[in-house]
Amino acid sequence: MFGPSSGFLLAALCILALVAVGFGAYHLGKARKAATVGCAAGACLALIVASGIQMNRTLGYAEGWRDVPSLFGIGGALGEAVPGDVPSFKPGEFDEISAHEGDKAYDATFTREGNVLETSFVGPRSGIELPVWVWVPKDYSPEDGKTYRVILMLHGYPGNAVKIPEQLNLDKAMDSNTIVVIPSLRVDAQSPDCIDLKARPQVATWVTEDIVGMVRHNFTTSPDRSGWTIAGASAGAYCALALGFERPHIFSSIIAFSGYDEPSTGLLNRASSKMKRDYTASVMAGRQRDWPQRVYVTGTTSDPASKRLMENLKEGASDRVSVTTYLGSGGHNWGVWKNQLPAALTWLGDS
Amino acid sequence: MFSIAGWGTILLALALAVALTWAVLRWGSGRGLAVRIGCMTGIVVWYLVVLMLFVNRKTLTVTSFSDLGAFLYLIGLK
Repeated sequence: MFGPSSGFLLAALCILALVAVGFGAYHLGKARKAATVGCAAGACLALIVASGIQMNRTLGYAEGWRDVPSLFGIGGALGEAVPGDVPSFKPGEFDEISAHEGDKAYDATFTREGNVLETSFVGPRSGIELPVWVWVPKDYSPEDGKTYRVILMLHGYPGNAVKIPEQLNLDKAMDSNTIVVIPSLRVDAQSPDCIDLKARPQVATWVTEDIVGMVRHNFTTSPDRSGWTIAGASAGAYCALALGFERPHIFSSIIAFSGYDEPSTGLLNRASSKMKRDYTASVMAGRQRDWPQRVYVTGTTSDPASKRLMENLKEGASDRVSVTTYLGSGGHNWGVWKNQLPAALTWLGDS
Repeated sequence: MFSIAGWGTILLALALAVALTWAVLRWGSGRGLAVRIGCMTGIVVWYLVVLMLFVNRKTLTVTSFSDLGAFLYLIGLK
């Protein structure tokens, strides 16, 4: 009733603002300046909180009040960022992306609404249980005999995976040979990590092993990395780059919409400058010297962080990583990324 | 200078907010109730606009006046 999406609380705050305006007008009539200003400030405060609640009702950034502080950069996970183990394979050492045939832990039951399938999945490796959405083409059927290409799409922070099919207008933008897998990354109330860190939920394992395995197990998809792309927007774009460069044996392509070069969320954001540098996307692109990989990075002229990422990636990537950039106009929002998606898909189709 | 996320716009909006507050406190007391309520509402709305401009300066959600639809989307009006 009193959560950060509460309609009751929203209504109460709007009424409170109206009452404060009314009292302000009364005090103004009596020439009580301090009381008038106080009432105006109270009305402003009530409307600020009301706006936040309305925004949260639309976009679902916070499920409970405990999620709210980290949205403003307050609190967050404590401790040192100690990287977990990362599976590393050179070409020839990795056969194919496993479909975990016969392993019931990778079974998933989906409900379908329009072109979007939804399941709640428990990662057999990470232990993380979160919802996953899969956008499928209109005529998709598990028995249609087609092998689908996969785009694993990561939301930003704050962000909400369930909104992405609508935000990117996937029904209109996508072709009939690709599915888009959109996992929730909200493992807890803290600012999210992208990579596996000791003493933190294993997000990278969740995304690149559990989700990838679940998709291979339940959909007819390519066992070869050439059929797999990892993508993301904003903080999700940084995650897509970090995970893509860390596990190039799974992802042949990366698409990053308005990302950041340096980690800007989670425990890595508070890590030492050396560690932050180690996990800077352009530095990781320089270290990835084993697998051929294609990267499509977008930015806008008025979004300096995205421009810097584009420049640094072009400069820092190894000769195994081919970087294509697109600099457009607009802000840091889904409307911009929706408009950039068709060109990114064309680029992807050219591979 | 006067882009939606520029300091020029934000400082101008803040200066207007302060001026509006001063004007209302100076001349509003002798007016009728409806006018006083209108003045109070104007002040509150204008300070909210200033705050949104500050927040947008940080998030860069909207970078041109023609892209205001992104704000409407945030509050579920689009």
